Amino acid sequence: MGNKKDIQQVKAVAREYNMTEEEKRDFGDFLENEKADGNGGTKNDRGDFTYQELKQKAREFLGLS
Amino acid sequence: MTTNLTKQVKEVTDLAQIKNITNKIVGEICWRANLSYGSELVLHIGAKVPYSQKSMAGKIKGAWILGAQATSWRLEENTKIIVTSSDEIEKIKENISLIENTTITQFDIGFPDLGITMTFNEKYKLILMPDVNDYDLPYWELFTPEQMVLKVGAGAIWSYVSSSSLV
Repeated sequence: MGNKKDIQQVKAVAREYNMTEEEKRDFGDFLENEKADGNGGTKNDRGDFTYQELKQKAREFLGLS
Repeated sequence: MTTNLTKQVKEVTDLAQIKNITNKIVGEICWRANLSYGSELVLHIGAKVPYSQKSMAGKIKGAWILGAQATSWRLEENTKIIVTSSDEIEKIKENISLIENTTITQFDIGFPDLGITMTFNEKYKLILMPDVNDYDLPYWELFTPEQMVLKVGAGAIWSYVSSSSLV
């Protein structure tokens, strides 16, 4: 099943960046694409993201940086 | 039905409005079944549309998108279990693709658990099994071509709101 903590962290970051429901859902796909493209995070060996990394990814996703 | 709604499910007839929404997905093609971030099972269904963000330029998604959130699920072929959400990620990715490019022939919502049973090509069956003691996340979400999102659970509740609403 989905990892509840990871999904909750995405939701928290989405709120922090005032994402819409659609943006939050697409952000999940963006993160998975980043992992597949070799731009994963350092949280674990699967390339998941720490909270700080998720915030940086949110900026990239939204075109803020 | 485009108005933002939040309703409780106390009896099976309370599912009628949800079914009015989900019935429209029957006959549509599921063309992508994969895991999104957090290993969430996600199905892309119906018309292929571009993502809105520049960072996702050139990529497409479904006009309908079903997300299983953190809910347990299993995929069956003629009642034989093929893969479940508890399996290794590689096994999931390898087997969940069986339902890609199939037609949704049934979409049922259980009562009182609010789980889903979806049938594909009348051959494969995907069953979502919510944990009714879990109150942290919706059991599942369905984004629709009308730019709405149906969220079911956690608990005996559902909402139908604009996908442009803030999280």
